[in-house]
Amino acid sequence: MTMKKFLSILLATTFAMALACGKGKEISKAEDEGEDDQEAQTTTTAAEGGTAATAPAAAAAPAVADAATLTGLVKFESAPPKMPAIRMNADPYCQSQHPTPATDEEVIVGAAGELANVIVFIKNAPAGPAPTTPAVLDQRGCQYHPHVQAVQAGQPLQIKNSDATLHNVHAMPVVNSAFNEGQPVPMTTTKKFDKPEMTPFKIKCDVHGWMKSYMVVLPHPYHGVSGMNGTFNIGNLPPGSYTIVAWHEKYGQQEQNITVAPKEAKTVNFTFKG
Amino acid sequence: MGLRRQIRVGNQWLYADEARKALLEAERVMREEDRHKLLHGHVLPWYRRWLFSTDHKVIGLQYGFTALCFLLMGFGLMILMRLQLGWPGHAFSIMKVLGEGRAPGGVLLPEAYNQLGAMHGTIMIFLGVVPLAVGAFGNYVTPLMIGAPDMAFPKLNMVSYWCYVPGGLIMLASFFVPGGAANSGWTSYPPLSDIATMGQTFWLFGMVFLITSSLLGSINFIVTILQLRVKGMTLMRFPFFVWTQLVTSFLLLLAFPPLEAAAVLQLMDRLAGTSFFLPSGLVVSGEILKNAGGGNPLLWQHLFWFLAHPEVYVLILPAMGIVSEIIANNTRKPLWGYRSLVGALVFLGFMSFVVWAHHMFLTGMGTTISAFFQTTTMIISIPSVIILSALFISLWGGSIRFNTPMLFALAFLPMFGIGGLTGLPLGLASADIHLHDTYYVIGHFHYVVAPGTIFALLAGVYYYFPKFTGRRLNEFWGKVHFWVSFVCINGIFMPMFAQGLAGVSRRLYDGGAQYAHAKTIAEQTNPFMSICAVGLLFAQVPFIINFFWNAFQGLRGKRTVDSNPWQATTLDWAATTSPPLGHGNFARAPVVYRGPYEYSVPGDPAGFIPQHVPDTPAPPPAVIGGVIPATAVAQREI
Repeated sequence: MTMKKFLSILLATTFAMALACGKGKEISKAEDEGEDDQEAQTTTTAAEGGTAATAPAAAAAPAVADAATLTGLVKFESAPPKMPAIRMNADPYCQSQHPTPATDEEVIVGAAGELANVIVFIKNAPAGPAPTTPAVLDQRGCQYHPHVQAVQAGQPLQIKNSDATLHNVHAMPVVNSAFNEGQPVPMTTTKKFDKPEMTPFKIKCDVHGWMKSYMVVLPHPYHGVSGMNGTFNIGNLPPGSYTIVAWHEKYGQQEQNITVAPKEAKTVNFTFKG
Repeated sequence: MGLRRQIRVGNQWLYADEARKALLEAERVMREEDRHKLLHGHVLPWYRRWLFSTDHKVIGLQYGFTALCFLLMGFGLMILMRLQLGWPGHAFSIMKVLGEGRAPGGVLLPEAYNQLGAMHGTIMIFLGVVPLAVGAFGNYVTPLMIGAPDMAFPKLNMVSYWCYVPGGLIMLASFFVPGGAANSGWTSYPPLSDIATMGQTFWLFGMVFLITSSLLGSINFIVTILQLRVKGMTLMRFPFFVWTQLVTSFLLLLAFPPLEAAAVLQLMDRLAGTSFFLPSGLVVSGEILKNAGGGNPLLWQHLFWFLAHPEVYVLILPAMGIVSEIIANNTRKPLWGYRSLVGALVFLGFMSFVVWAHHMFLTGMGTTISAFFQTTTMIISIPSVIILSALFISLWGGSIRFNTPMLFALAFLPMFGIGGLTGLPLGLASADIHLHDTYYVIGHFHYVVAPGTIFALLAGVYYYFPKFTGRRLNEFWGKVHFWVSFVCINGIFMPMFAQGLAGVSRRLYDGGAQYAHAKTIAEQTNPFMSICAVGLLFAQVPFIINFFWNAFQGLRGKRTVDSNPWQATTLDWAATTSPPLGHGNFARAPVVYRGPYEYSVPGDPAGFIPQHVPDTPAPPPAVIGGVIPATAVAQREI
């Protein structure tokens, strides 16, 4: 074999490989576009469902005959603490997203003393299959949306970065595997917590120190979060006796034992003090 | 009828024509014997010849091939990093090779960048350059240069290679564990590395193997060089390359054990719950770490740099050795100041053990300690300058042959010069406060290691290729390889000094785009540097084709050069072309009569006198290219 022959074979092989790669690229581009579409859809869903803070989303529990419904109000009795404004000047992008400085979301109390961002869930409800509808944790304006939430073990969790800056999603569960991943550009990462974790854990951003969110992982779908009006709603609950838990990131946890009759619309209220 | 001249063969006098016939007959018989061995299986099985060989040449080739593969891999990681730095956040299809977890949609994640950074450094240093410089060139060339039939401990040599391979495989496997490969930098500073993902554990295990490999190799080299010298090969008749291998081996022997100890301590911190490197009250992600207490992260830094500074000289000394051989050969002159070169080399080796803390000026060691290490650092620059100056002066008045190995060797001189001189400000504590952990440091040590050491190693590949294969690499493509590489590599590293002086920190996944003070210069320089990196990648294509094409042809027995194509004087070129693998090196032990660089000797018509040629013509010829029976070698094995 001469050098020329060797080189021509090599050139032909390279050309063939380049062609093959080119085709692959087209396919992957189509995939990318598909991903974008999906992302756009997710954004819409998030925007619709992102109103959790004002109107609590009922957990998508499977329909049960004779199911009861739990609703309630979470109140805060003490004088509401004044939340400080968040200094976002370390990242010009974040600052630009808040012409009026955002305030810390640790304690949000309504005009009539309604306490928001309280996770309410049943401690001892029967386990159910994990939903395929993903839960969404959105990083928008350098804040987490929602600030707190409950997900079901095995349920997909879409973590979105809607900001044009780097976020670092540092989830710190104890029972499940912790992770710490960067999202340098607007993108979505899907994660899953496989085991129930009844004590809420923190999810934080190591780049922006003020960003934190809390999450509880439950084996069942019977949970809710109090909105800006302090109300929560848990539907499709099979009749029985339960312990219901209300958890707030600053004011801790409260429990109540309840019994629900078939088709009962029960009201359970919680009151936190500062 | 003319006078029939007689020559003496052994203790017999023969007519020249009869002696010639006898020689031809002897060659025919030996060929028959070789064929007989092949046909009747009186040779080692293939896996003993090619995989678990105890022959220093096979092991050298194994090291060389493996190390070149690792170099290419480390280079590939660099290309991915440079793409990211040039265009941060941009989606590249090529990034998808890293997997969806590291580069979703082709966008490299910051933690994946950290993996690339740590593994690029580790692969290049511990799996690429050191195995190529010491394992490959040292193994193949050193015994030939001193006239030895093999290394002193051939089986130990084999074990050394087979510790290196699993070390490398463990490092590669770490890419596939949860959390990916090690991502705490090639220096693995705790406490970060103590709490890093599982890849760090793999890194530590891999390092234990690699260190073990180096330790075994270094003992072997020291014993071989000192004990297996042939008659007449006094220390001051060593080719400079042998001296560099000797000093390098001492550095490896003495510097690596502290890192091995440190690696074991860090493994215990990670796996056994100890706290050697974790201080009390360590807060990680806002929470106090439970098992932290009483440890000191600075302990790791001391242990690490006690290895890693001598390691710098492990990288550079063999390169200097190769360059010296090539310069002497291609200027057709003796090296200028051989004795001062050797003296400077030994002094350099000694001093390299007392400069390590100049990497740690910012740790608050105190001004007294800093002053000591500043002083030693300034002192160590003196022998480096002596060596470089001697090599420069060696060029003076030479009738230089500008072949490819010489071009690479010549480029080494200014490139290493830039690398060395830019190191001086880093050795001064006050300047280091500004420059520490900036791109200036990256530029500095890459000038030493990349266009410095790696160019020298490439020079070595071009220079020794005829000895390995019996063929010379193509000169034209070699020169294309050199010039494009030379331009591109400077295009990558020169702007780093400007970036560093502007305060751009190293290890930023976006090259500083998020920092107001770094943004402008990063945008001005990073795309250009990345384009140069891609250019450097393309420059390697002719080399890779050239290398494999000729290696393949060499394996098919198509040899085009004789045993001494460069007209060199040292003993390695007195052995036959591509000495038969597994069969020893010389027909009989050569005797050395002179120094290593007797080029352009007045009155000598050939223009060079090899070391084994006696002053006065006296039979018998010291070396006859050929083979000695394998059994003779086997008796020497342990």
